[in-house]
Amino acid sequence: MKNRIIMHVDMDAFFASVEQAADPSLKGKPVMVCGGLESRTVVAAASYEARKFGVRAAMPLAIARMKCPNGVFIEGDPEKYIYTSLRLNDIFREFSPIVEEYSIDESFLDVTDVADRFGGPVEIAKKIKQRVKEQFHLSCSVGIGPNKLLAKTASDLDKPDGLTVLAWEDLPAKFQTLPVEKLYGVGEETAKKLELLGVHTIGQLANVPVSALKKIFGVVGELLHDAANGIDNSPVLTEAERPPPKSVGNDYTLQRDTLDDELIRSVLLGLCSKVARRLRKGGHAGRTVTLKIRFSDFTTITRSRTLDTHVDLDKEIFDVALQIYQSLHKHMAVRMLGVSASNLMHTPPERQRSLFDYSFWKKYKRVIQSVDKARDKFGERSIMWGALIRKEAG
Amino acid sequence: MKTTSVEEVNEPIDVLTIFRDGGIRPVKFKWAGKTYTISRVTYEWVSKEGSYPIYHFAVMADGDDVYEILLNTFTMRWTLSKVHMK
Repeated sequence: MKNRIIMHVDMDAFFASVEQAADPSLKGKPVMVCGGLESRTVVAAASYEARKFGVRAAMPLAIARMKCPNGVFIEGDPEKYIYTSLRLNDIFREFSPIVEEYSIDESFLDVTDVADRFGGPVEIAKKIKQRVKEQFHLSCSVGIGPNKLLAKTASDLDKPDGLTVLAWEDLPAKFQTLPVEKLYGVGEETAKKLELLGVHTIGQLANVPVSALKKIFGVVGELLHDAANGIDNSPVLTEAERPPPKSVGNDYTLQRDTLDDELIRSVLLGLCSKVARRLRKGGHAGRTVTLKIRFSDFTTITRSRTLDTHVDLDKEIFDVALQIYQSLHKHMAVRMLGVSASNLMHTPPERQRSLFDYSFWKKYKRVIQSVDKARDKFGERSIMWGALIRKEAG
Repeated sequence: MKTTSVEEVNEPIDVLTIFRDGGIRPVKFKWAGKTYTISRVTYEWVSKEGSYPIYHFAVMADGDDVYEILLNTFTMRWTLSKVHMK
């Protein structure tokens, strides 16, 4: 089998860099892009200048303001970033048809069969970096390796604006000397357990017998062992090859913690409506509805209900979510709500309805189909539930 | 350090625009009685309202100030959405 050549392109401080490109006066300044400018939101991206002050992504805005009081705080503009991400992937596809949009700011490219045509993988990486800089005034870090794991690790070794090759022969010196938490897939908890075992580097993890890792981590133990030895056979998946989603969900953090039942019902309706719309748009229907509630003391309750049939209509999902909500003991004000549908069926067949309410559901479905058509043409907010227009539930 | 803040405006504006080779190039805009000459388009992106594209431009006009303007192709109206105040 031909040795694979995989490339990982990671945009540097993506959202913050896009804002600096849009407003060149922000270049060189600590810029923090946030979900909103209220104190309850978190930093979505921090420019490298902001990182010098200790600001990191996912840090609460209030803390970021303390660490970097003179920084520039900008409310994020998702449409700007999504559009840029799509165009960046168009550039990548000019070099290889096998591109996996891994996240909004990261992509994998399989350049195995096209590398020679462009003078080798390093030349491709240089050309991509140049195109991205010319077209968007953005920088990216590129990692090249024989698989996705090593390519991703490589892109992180020299940020920002780096270009790093991690070949098999580099493993002992450049990969296995890294701290174990740098290994993709090793989270905080796993790293803590490994530390207790005296495993501090990827190399030390590679030397732990797979049987011992399986005893501690179960099936994940084998994956950890493979990863520490640089083994990853997962393919680069194009959009068409990606598996369908396992669940569809939406969360919402309220502007203020609340005990207001009417407001909570409205927020639930908004969430269920969004989930149902996403299900229908993707051609899915879900059998399990899950409600997540976070209270003001950050305790979180998650409850699910599995139905006899798959559902994809706003009211069907809302009815279940509301039943779950009403069955819960609410010990304090609610901070965050989340609704998701799982146990999905893709391209669900027409459902058999009870004779008693057949007429209602037939009419309801027809209304929702018309609403979907209107939203497709005029936008998501062109038609909405009356209950969502009030307060902050939309 | 010079501070920057981004103010939401969302007010209709008149824009002198060149449509050429399938592209849109805003040249000048009039807001609150004043005409601003665009010296540079710093960033462009497209979003969608339903099936209608909305063309966004971050532009520099009259110095370092950056204005975000957008053309809604459903209403065919230009809007000044944000101003980056310095």
